[in-house]
Amino acid sequence: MQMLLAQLCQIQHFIASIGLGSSVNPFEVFSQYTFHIAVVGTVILAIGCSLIGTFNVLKGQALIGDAVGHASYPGIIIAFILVMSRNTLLLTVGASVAGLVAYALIQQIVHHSRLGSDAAMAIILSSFFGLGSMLNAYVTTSDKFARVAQAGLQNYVFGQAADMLYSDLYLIGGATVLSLILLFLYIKEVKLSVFDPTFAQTAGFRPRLLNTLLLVMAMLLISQGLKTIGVILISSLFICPYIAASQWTCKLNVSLLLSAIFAACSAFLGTWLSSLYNGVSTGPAIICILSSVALISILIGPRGMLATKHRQRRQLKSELTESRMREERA
Amino acid sequence: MGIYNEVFYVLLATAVACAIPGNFLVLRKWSMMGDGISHSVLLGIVLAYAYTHSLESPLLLIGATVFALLTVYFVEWIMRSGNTQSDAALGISYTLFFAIAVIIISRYFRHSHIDIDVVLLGDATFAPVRRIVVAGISMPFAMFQMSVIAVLNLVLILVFYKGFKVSGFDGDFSAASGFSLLFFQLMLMSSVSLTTVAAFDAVGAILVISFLVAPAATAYLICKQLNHMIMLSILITAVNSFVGCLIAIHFNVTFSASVASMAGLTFFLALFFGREGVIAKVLLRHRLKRRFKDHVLLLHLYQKRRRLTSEGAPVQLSAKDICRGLQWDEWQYKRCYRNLLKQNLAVDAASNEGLKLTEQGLVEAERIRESYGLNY
Repeated sequence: MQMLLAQLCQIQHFIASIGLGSSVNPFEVFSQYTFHIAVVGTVILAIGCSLIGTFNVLKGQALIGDAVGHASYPGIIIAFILVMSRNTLLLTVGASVAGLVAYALIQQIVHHSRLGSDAAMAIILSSFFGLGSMLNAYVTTSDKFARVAQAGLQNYVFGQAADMLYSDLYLIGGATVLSLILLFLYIKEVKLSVFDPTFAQTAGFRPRLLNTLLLVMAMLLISQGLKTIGVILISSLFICPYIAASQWTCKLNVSLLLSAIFAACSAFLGTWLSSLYNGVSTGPAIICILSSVALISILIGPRGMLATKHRQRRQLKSELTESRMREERA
Repeated sequence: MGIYNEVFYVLLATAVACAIPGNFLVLRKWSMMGDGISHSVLLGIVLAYAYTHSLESPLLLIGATVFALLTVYFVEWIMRSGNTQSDAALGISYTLFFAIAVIIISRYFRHSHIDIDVVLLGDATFAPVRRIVVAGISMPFAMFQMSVIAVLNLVLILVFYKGFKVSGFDGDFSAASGFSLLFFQLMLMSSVSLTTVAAFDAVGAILVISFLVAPAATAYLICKQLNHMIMLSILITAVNSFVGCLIAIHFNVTFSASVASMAGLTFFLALFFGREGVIAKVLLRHRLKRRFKDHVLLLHLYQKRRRLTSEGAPVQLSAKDICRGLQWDEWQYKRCYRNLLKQNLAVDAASNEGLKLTEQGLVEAERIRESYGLNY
């Protein structure tokens, strides 16, 4: 018994030494104003991203979000250089423009060369991000911008929900509501063009227009998410919820609901953890939880790995017994 | 460049070492896999650093390579589970590793050598501080390390050239003709991850994908042979590093970032001005369009050549008639009119700028009809 206690003590010491124990009471933050804003913002954003992301993943465009997210970084910095202020609205407009330019360039590269879309995305992603970092370094070292506070620009890389202002909530809410209204207005068309683009075209819908619509909705949400999740990990918010949900159901409506729930819970937990522990950025915290949820779903979901294996084994077994019975009969 | 000479050499060695395996990433259409690997390598580095507390330990290389291979395995594993596409599988696995790594860094290593900025962009400026003496010459350790890796990559490619080539262009064919696809994939991934880890100091985890993919993709636009492509990609990356370095020094910005933007710029230059580039394509389309219009006019004249007036004389087509018949503008007609006259395919009809086919024009018109499949 004493040995067990000693062991427990050691574990406790270990946990304390690596700093897992928080100095703050975990439930104290629930009453903080900044925490309220951060949680509301991230949860709304996560729900919007998960719903739009479902269609992006179904269209096989999962990584486009990654490329566009990285590529919007220079847009933020250029907007900052032009207007010399950290107004969130203007910076997100810059981000959206840069993201759309990046998307158009990717399409043009694929159209005009033999390169695959993967190489196009990799090039655009890295060169845009490089340009953004270059401009950021210029802004931080140049005297011209010394008077304007540019300290917050770095936060756009990994996101810091604690920086959110009350007015940012309006922007996030507005972008989410707008893109969700668009989604629900056109859900039938989008569904059709995602699952059967050829039929959609013959039925008179324009798949390219719908594609652009999906992209614009995604771009709206990406540009709003940069401040909280950051340019590097924003794409996961689009991919993971649907992947997690699709392991539990094969119905689209149910999986939309499930992915929204997964995303919202992860956003809540991630924001909570990041406000508890000093130095943990919100973006990585949310994405960590979200991708863990996805991995666990892949492992144990009814359409996931173990279930599939089990089903295959059962099928094999039944086939085996059948063939045995046939042999006996013969 | 003065004091920055050595920084340039470090960058150059890094860029060359990255460009070599990058060629096969582009061919294999695995560029984003390279991106994923370069992100997830970070977790290996961070864990190894947490264990050893030194950035020079070989354990970092091992840890990073393990995580790179783990990512590849993870993606395969998720895909095999059934209903997940490869890009989505990649999107889940590397972001998980990367997010964990970022949390560990920002929480536990806030005041040590690994810092978030270095992770993102690397720090070539301080690379020459760590030195090593090789054959009596003192050189930056990073430069020595990257040169060794560049040579290793080159040797690997040369030894298994045929296998890499076949598996790069056509996986199924290579498997059918006896080259183990798994072996070459594993070799490529190990090479990419080793290079990524070694390049981590100089260019960071995110921009390394630019060093891997961009020069190879640029060369892919220009070359038609694999060996030319590899050589050209090395040349391009050298030019990128040189110009990028100059820009970085002049504007006092991060080296790797400016080289990455340069790589994007050279790629677009090749895309626009290459032999099969956008501009060449536009010019070609324009030329074809004009030639097609000449043909249309010629065929129009050919069709109307037997038409007679009520008195039995052949109809003299005026410019206005032709324009009305083809629904062309005046200037469009003028251009084709001049072309036909120049090529001796038609002559001026009596008045009002009309046209009449010559013997040569008649032959040409029949040839065109045949080539368009109109002579039924």
